[in-house]
This record gives sequence, C-alpha cells and structure tokens, in this order.
Amino acid sequence: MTLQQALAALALCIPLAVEARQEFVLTLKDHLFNPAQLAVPAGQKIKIRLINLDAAPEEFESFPLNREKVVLGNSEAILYLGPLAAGEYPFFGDYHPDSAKGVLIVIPEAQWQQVQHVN
Amino acid sequence: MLINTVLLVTRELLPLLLLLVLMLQLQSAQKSRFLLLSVLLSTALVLLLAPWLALLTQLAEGNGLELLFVACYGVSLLALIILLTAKAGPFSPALVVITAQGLICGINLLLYSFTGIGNVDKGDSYWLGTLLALGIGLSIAVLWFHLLDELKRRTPALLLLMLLPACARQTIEALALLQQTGWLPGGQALWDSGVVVSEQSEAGVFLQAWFGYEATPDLIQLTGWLLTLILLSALGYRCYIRRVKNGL
Repeated sequence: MTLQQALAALALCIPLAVEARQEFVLTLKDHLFNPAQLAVPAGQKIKIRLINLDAAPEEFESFPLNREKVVLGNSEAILYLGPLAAGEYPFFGDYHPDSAKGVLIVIPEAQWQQVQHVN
Repeated sequence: MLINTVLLVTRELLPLLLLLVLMLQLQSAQKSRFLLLSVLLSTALVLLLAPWLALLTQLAEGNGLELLFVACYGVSLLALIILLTAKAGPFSPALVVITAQGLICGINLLLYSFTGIGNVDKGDSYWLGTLLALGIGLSIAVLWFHLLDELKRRTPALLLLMLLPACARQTIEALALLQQTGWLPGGQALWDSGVVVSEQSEAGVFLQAWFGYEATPDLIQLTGWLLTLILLSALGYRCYIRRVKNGL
C-alpha cells in the first residue's frame, strides 16, 4: 500500500469515528453560560458547540462528564459527548468557577421525544 | 481568583513534578544536568508553540490541542516503557517524558495566564496564586523525592514498580482526550467514586497526578488503564528477572 492509499483509507475512517450527532449550542458571555441548564437526550451521541463570546479564554470543565476543554477568547470549540445516562451533570468554567456554572440535564429518551413533539 | 489560581496551577504542576521526581530518582548520575535540560527543553517548546496556540486550538474541528496532548501522552508512555525495560535509568527517555509532560503543563498554564496577566484587577492575585501553588507543588515533590529515595534504598526494584502507575496515567489521559475529540466512542460511567474521593479534593488531585484517578471512568478508560498496568507489569517483571539472572 502506498502512502497516498494509506492516507485515503485513513480519511475514509475519520468520518466513521466522528459520525452525525445532534448538535447543541452553549454560549459563554461575561463568564456566564447560556443556557445555564442545557437539556439533551439520554442514550444518544451528541455534540455541543461551545461559543466563547468573551475576550478571555475559558476552560469547560465537568468531572462527571470527564471533560476538560479550553476555548480561546472569541472562538468556539466542539465537545463530543454520550451516550449519557439520564441525570444531571454539572459543569463549570475552570478559569471563572464562581460565575461560569451550568448543568447538563440528560432527559430519558421517551420524555425527550415528548419535549421535541411539544416544541 | 487567588484560590482558583492556587488550585488550578497546583493541579497542572503536580503530575509534572511527581514524574520529574521519579525520573530524577531513576538517574544514577547527572541529576542536575537532567533537571536543567528538561526545564530548558520544555520551556523552549512551549515558547516555540505559544505564537501558534490560537491556530493550534482551531485545528481538527477545534481539537488540535487535544490531539497534541494525546501525542505527548503517547510519546511519554513509550519513553516510560523503555525506562521500565532498560538496564539502568537511561538519560534520553527520561528527558523525553519530562519534556512531553512539561509541554502539556506549560501550554495549560500559558492559556490560564491569559486571564490574569495584564488584567489590573486580577494580575496580583494571579502571580500570588501561582507562587503559592509552586510552593505547595514543590513541597509535595520534596516529600515524594524522600519517599522514593527510601523505597530505592530498601528495594531498588520498587522504584521500577512506581513507573507502572505513571504509565497507566498516560493511557487513561490519552483515551479520555480521544473520547473528547470524538475519535473514540464515549460511554456511560461504570461507577461514581466521587463521594469517597472527589477529583476536586486534595487527595483526588494527588491520585489523579499519580495514577490518573477518575471518579467516573467508563469501560474504555478502565480497560485501557488496567491493560496498561497488567501488560507492563508482566513486561517489567520479565525484564527484571532476566537482568537478575544475568547478574546485572
């Protein structure tokens, strides 16, 4: 196998690893997360687009989610999560833990379908 | 800001300091040269990458930094395996371990410094907090050095045994980052030992720095951690027995 073939094979594998996931948006402004309570479905792979509207960098940190992600000022990053069990997963901004706080509320699938239907 | 800086800087420094002490103990000679070289190399690499941090973080859908850290953990693990199987603590692999860890620690500290340096309200707290964290970290490192020194004096093989938790930590950290980037599937936590030892507690921070403690590990992380421990224990034991038989 030539190097080109190997790279092509690798490129084909990457989209399999990063498959389609439902996307949620979490913004950070004045060191506050918005929404502070983000609802997502249980048992599904999801991604959260974290948009930092502040000039200073921030680190998204969640011990129960095992996530630690730095987002530079005025930029964004993607967090890949799940499948998660239903429940509440607190998170905070490591650089401003007093103000930047939030909770990821993971809703059971049946309940999630109802919420989606109402919306 | 002050307390947060102390906590954050201590958490970043501790893994590096614990590994540095272990590497120093493994060096039979040239400890000062090793220390100087590792500090210089790590600092040079961080300074070299500093102007490119913004670009780096945006690579691979915003996962550039994580992938760099995964590479650092991978290189570190390989160097630790070489140390585990080598006759005597060789200089170069130990230097690679500290440089890779220094790069991770340095980049994280540099990113955090952007929130404090140059900020009139936070600047003093940032510097004071950093100094306090450095003091705490160095105090723990001195105690760790003497503990390892005692272990080495009693049974030299125990020092090699201390490489195993360090190896397992590299694996679990790399796996967690690969899951974060979406390159590996994530999973549900197998248990939550946070009520016994919280990752945010002093003990949790120390255990995390020592062997990669996770209060809520998933199956991939636990498997990787255990496999590293078991396989490298077997490998290390085999090499040690062979060395004893050869009278080395």
